[in-house]
Order: sequence, then structure tokens, then C-alpha cells
Amino acid sequence: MQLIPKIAGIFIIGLSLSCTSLIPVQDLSKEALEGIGQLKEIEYNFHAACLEECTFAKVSQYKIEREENCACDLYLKADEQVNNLYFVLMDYWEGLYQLSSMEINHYNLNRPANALAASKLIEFKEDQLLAFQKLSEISLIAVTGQYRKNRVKEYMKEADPYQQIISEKLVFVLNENLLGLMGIQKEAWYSFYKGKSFDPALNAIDKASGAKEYYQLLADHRTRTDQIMVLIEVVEFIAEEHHKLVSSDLKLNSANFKAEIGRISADLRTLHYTYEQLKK
Amino acid sequence: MKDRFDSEQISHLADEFLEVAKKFNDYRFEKISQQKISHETFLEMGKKSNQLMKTAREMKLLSTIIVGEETAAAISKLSSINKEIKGSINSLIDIQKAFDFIGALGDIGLAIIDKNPAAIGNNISLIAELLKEKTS
Repeated sequence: MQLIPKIAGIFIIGLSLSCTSLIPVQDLSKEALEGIGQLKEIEYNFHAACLEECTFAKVSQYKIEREENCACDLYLKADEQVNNLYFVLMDYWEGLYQLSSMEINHYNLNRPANALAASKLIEFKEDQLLAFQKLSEISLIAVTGQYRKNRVKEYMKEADPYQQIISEKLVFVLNENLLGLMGIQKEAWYSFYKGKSFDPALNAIDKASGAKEYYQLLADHRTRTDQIMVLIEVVEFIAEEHHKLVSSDLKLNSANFKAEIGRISADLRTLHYTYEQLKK
Repeated sequence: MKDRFDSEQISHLADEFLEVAKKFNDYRFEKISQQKISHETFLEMGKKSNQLMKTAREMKLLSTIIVGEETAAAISKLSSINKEIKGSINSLIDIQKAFDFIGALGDIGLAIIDKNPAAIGNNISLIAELLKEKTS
């Protein structure tokens, strides 16, 4: 008979501990993975920028060679640098996602409970046995849930300054250097096609066709720039929100935290939609 | 902060080179339209502006591949946090394995009580597998 109050006590502790939902962290990580992950969808990179410049320079000099002969190997190093920054961020969010979304409800304690009953060390009635099994499962979930909650919080706090530096560097490299190279390319097109319009050897039809080519290049350039800028915004936004959440010291299962995540998700979805539209 | 500063400085310098190239282009287009320069001079000036842009490209590349102390340290720190996170995930998976193990032991207890040799055999092989997984 003393067993029942004990069970009831465990049950109350179990219930209070089991309210440690990590779903908000799981949602945030999922959004971050989707958002930053879009970077891999951009087909344009430093190496592609180099090949574009090299082939355009050859075309503008009417230079035909058997092979491309573009010295672009160093640009692969720049892409490697972008990849390093990208992968370490993705790895972090992937880890947070896994840790916050681990399926722990499948601990099945009916076998140990049955063995305990069969051992006849303690006399169990069937409903008591079931209660014992259920309560053990609840406390196990609560303990691992509490453990995970603490770890997730600790990791986010520890990782925050580094994820900020890495995101900043990634944003800088994309914004200043990749878009910067594209800006230089744009001026090279302008210089070439505008120069053509003053070429006395060309007739009006040639000049008009050159102008058409130029404006097509500009249109493609604008679409590509817009795509990259949306992704830069995503990376900046996620880094900032991570920092805000860590410094606000919100409880991970509080209503405010959940509301914050809801807002972040909605904003990220808007950015994602913008990006998808630009891809069309 | 040193690496980002250097990287930013080089990138900024490249932007300035591009601005000069743009101004130079504007200048040669203005002069040719006023017929103040010959077409040959115009083309020569074009080559100069291309050279400025080429240098600007190289600066943008250099600015990207510079990996300074601050970024390198952040990458290595975040990587080690990532390793710890994976460790936590593994320890939680180990908890699951431990419970599977206890479950199998419990079943052996039942099988012994039931005097069921087939069930004893099955559970022993299950435990052997679990142990193998844990030690491999």
C-alpha cells in the first residue's frame, strides 16, 4: 500500500519535468537549415565569376583558342573558403536540430517491468505494474528532456560569438567580394558594348545587336544579384536572431520564446518565398 | 579583428579601383563622342581601364582567401562545439541502447522462469548483438 503514494509522488515530479518541450528550438533549427541551405542552390560562385570574365575577355578580343585556358584555380580556393564557413554553420544547426528533435518517446519499459513482476520480489497487481511502467517511462523522458534542454541552452550560449563571426565573414565575402566581382564584370560589359557603339567599322544592325546582348546580360546580372542579396539577408537574419535569443535569456519552453520563434519562422518564410520567386 | 580589417581594407581598395576605372571610361566615352580623341587612343584608354578592373578582381580574390586568426579561431571553436553536440546525441542514443539491454535481460529472466530454452537463446543472441554494437 505504501507503493501508491510513492508512485503518485514520482508521477507529479515526472509531469513537471516532462514540460520541457524543445519544439521551438527544433523549429528554429529547421528554418535556419532551410534558409542557409539555399546558399548551395546558387549556381554562381567565385570560380564561375572567373570563367565568365575570362571567356568574355576572349570573346571581346575575338580570340578563339582550342581550349578555354583560363587561370581560375585560385578562385577555387575562394569557393573553398565560402564552403568552410557554410559547412560549419550548417553542421551547428544540424546538431541543434538533431538534439532538439530526438525521438525519445519510444523507451519501452514493459519488459523490465514484467521481469520485475515475474521475479516475485515485490507483489504487483496488474494496474500497479502498468502504473510503475508508465511512470518510469515518464521520468525517463523528463530526465533526458531536461538534460537535452540544458545542453541545448549551453551550446547556444557557447556557440553564439563564433556563429556571429562566421556569419559576418560569410556575409562580407558574399556581399563585398562575390557581388563585388559581379560589379566589376558589369562595368567590363558596359565598357565593351559602349565602346562598340563608337566603332566606325560596325553598321547600325551590328550596334543594335550588341545593345540587345548588353541589356540581356544586365537583366541576368540583376536576377543573380537579387538572389544572392536575399540569401545574404537570410544569413544575417539567422545570426542576429540566434544572438537575440541567447542574450534575451528567454526560457526555452516559455510562451515568449515560442512567440519569438513563430515570428522568426514567418520572416524566414517570406525571405524564402522571395528567393523562390527570383529563381523563376 | 586584424584579419577582417585587412580583408575589408583590400576589398575596399578594389572598390576604389573600380570607381577610377568607371570614371576613366566615362572620360574616354565623352572625349570620343566630342571627337577630341582618335579611335586608337580611345581603344588604348579602354585597355587601361580593363587593367584597373583586372587589379580590382585580384584584390577581391585576395580579400576572400585571406583566412585570418579571428575567423580561423571561430571556425575551430564552432567545430569543437559541433563535436560536443554530436557526443550528446550519441550519449542519448546510448541511453536507448542501455534500455534495450535491460529489456533483453528482463526477458531472459522471464524465459528462465518459464523454462523456455528457445526464448533464452533468442535473448542471449540479442544481448550479444547489443554488446557488439556498444563495443564496436
